Amino acid sequence: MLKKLIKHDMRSISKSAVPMFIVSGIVSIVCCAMLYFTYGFSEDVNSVFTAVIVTSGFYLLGMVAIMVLGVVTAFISISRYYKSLFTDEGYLTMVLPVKTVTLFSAKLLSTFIWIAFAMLVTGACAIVALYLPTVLYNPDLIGEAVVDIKWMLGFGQPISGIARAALILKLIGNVFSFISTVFIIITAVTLGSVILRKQRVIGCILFYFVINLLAEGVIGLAAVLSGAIYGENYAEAADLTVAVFSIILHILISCAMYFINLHILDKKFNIE
Amino acid sequence: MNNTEFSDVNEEKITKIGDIDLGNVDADASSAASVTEAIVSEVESEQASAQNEPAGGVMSVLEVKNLRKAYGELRALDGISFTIPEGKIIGLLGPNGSGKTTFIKIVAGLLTSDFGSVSVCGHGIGVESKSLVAYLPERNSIPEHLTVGEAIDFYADFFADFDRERAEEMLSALRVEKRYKIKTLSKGTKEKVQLVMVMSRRAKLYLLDEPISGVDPAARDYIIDTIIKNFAPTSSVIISTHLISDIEKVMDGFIFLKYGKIACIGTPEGLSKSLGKTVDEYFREVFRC
Repeated sequence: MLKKLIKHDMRSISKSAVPMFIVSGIVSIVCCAMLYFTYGFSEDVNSVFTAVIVTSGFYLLGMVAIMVLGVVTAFISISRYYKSLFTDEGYLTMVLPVKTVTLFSAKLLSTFIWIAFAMLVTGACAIVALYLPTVLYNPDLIGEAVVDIKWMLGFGQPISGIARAALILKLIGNVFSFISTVFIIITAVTLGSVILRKQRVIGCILFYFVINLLAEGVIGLAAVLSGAIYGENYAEAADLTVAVFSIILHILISCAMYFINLHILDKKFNIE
Repeated sequence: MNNTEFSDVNEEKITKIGDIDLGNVDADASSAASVTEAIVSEVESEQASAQNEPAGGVMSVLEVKNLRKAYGELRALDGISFTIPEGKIIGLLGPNGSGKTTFIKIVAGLLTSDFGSVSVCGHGIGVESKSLVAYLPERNSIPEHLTVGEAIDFYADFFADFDRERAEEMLSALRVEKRYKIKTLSKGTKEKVQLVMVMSRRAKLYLLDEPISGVDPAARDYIIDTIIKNFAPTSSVIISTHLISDIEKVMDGFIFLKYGKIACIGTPEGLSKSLGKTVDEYFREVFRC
């Protein structure tokens, strides 16, 4: 049943998300072309200055559009979760002969997959629009870009093994941060829809801020405690500790949100 | 089933008309005051024989015991009990706010009750009961972005008892093509499609909440025919509606709900024999404002 639920949820979201991705792709290619030709203008001493300005303006708009499309796709994934459970569609969803845990897990997984996919597509489109023209114009820059990425990961920098480990853990922590953020948003949607039935949207936003504030508070507290433990030596070792704490806390927050959602949907949720 | 375990149920006030076997029924029925003494005596004698499970080896499809549900101070269901045997079409009737939809939603598994129990073919409300119950809500629950064909796929995927051929036949009769998007259909057609999906299941219990309220009189006949044709002798149907005269001819029995309690149960034949009235006429009398 889990597979069937995921299949239908993925298909539902794809109907809105795929056209968004196609538009993002087209915009990024257009932006890429514009930037590429702008490089041409700038080398030509007789280039028309206005053309460069206009092209740059459109390029900027294109980049904003790519970002907006990414956010909208993520929003669509969340709104599908909301619609399938808390609107009239819930009359069908909640009479399916499946356990609540299966139902919720399927919705959660499909939401995650589409949000992650939206982020990847947006990132890919941004890279196409930002870097591809530069690389096309000067292929030697590919090597420099690789060096940059390595440097971001701490390679080539005069840092210790602990600092490098902290850096890598921070990057892993970002993945867990993303997961816990999605969990928090979904929990806020569930709580807002179940508790504040008459003002669902306000309820969802309110609960998101409250839960997020609590989660950030806990993570911040962990960072302060690390600082207190290491005192003046708060440097590389503390960085590593904070990174580990952050991962553990994001996992704990995600688990807590999962069980809160499950409990509400299983025991407290009434379609009225 | 034993009534004595429900202490505050006022069994004596129930009006029972005709030879309907709904197990034992419990509720307050203040409206019974308008019924003649003759009927009340008939009810009392019949209640004595209605203390057990349906006789003759007939399985009960639905058993409800002292069911209660409140929304804050408002008691939507106030201790109702009855049993529905297989092979019956029961009209669940009552004015707005009488608890019909709340009752149906509890049986469908959309609402949790505050007290009491409900079982469908011996299963409490849960995954098993949901696989046996086909529920038609009063509003369109099929996702609007689906096509009719995708809606069929959806039902076929999740309900093992869904008969795809039957669904396609009925849709063809209604001239609804599979490529149509749900959101492009009219309100009436959406209701028909939803009814087709529900009645294409070979369920044990059909819960139809206002199935004919949004469609034209000609379509109502089609819907009622669909209900009669598609339900098996081992199944039962509960229809909640305000359009009593339209479904009266197909009902085996009726239950009047008033303020969350059973006001009256009976059969159309029994009512006609005892009072010379149709269910519609009697409803208007009992629930006159």
